[in-house]
Amino acid sequence: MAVQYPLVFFTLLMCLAAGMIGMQGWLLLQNKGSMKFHRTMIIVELIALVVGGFAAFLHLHHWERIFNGFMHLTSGITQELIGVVVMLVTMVIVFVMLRKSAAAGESGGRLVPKWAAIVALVVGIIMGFVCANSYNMGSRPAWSNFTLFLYYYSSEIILGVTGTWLVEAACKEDAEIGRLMAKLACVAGAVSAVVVVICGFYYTTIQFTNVGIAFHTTEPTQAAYDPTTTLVSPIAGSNALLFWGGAVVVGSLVALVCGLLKMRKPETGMAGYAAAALVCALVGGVCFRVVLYIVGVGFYGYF
Amino acid sequence: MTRHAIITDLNRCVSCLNCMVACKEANDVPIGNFWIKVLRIGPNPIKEGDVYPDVEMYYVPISCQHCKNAPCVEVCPTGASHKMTDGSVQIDKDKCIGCQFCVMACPYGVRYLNKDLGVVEKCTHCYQRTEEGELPACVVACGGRARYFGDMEKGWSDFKGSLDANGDPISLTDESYIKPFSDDEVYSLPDEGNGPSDRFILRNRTWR
Repeated sequence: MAVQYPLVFFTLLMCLAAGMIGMQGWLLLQNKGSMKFHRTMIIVELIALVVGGFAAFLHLHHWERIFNGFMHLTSGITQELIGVVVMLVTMVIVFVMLRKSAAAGESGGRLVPKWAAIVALVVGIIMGFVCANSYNMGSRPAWSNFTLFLYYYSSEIILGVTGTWLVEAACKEDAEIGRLMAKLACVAGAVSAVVVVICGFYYTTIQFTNVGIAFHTTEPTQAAYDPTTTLVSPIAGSNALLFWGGAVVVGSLVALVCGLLKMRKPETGMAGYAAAALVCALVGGVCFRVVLYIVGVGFYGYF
Repeated sequence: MTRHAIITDLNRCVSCLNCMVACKEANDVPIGNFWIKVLRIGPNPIKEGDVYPDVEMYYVPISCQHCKNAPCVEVCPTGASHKMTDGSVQIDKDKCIGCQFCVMACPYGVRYLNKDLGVVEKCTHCYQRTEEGELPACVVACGGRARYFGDMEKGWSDFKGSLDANGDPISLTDESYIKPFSDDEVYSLPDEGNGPSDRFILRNRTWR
């Protein structure tokens, strides 16, 4: 199937926003982070959400009709729209609670009530599922299995961690969080690399309906449908560079190395490493999502 | 409950492509888009290890299968793709936002985006004709008299094809045109829970 770039960027930025909301909820639950850090987090999450939402609109040919009955609940798009609204509401709740605690001047008290932190954490976790579930279609065997959920969660974790790390490094107010995020970036990079490789190898095991020699009378000189070669192409074929170079090395191992270096030497240059880790995780996220479209061949692709 | 379907006798299909041309004409299908395509399957060995001339081949016209549990209907965010009371799956173009999730969800890949209109289209069983009691264009135009349209709930005798010399539609059970077939010679495209409605008759060949 042709790569739908607006959807690639939509899911990428949804994973970034959801991952950061989840991380923020987790930090708030432990009452970690300064007011400035958490406010900056909300601004970055909001930007990711708005840009991602805009990308999704670019995919639609008639966006003006979305309210013309846009509530068919079994549809993944409707679920994603509801998820986006829930994320926005969560951001507003966290922002209001932060303002309240700042106005009350509760030095040493909680930044936000525990329930608000738990809501942010849970929303972050659920959004990974919602994003993956939209593409969980029986018609595309590479998408309708556990690897899709595994990948979206690993993407959400690496983007959430590196995004949070960069915000902390830019705010420079919580060195402890900076060190923690460097460690987590290292772990998230390793997890991402392992998950991506698992996905790649799993694709090579998928079986398709095979009718033997066949061709379309509309395109008699075109090669026959060959899903096996397509599904092997990320591991050892025409898409190996995108897979190994983009999704594994750039998208996962750079974050691992950046985290490792700053875990050992956190004193200087944190922002540069965090930015490199985030940018590379985003690039890797694009690369793997492109791979997902390439391997997303139909289960009966003879039309 | 009505369940309209098209049955194709693959032993009669000669790949004349009349169905494709008639469909284009009846439905104004854009250049590059198809609502029906004829697939050639073969030449494949009759038995494993066989070589030419021990090979077999047949043609399969593929279009929307108007599935019982249509995945395209399930993923459509606006309800533009919907099931009709006659069992067919139709698209309300005024509701379609062109998100193409139905294109991704279709197990057979039979949906196309009409770039001019910004909406997704596919075979409608020529709804504009069947609603008036006529037959779909691909059925009427079929050069091999291989295609038949009818209600699955009423049985094979309800299926009618192109016109005979007297101008009456031929029945699928008219043995002067259609060779007898048994139920185990009637196939459908692979089903992954979607329940395709259309059927294909294939005798003396291995269905692949």
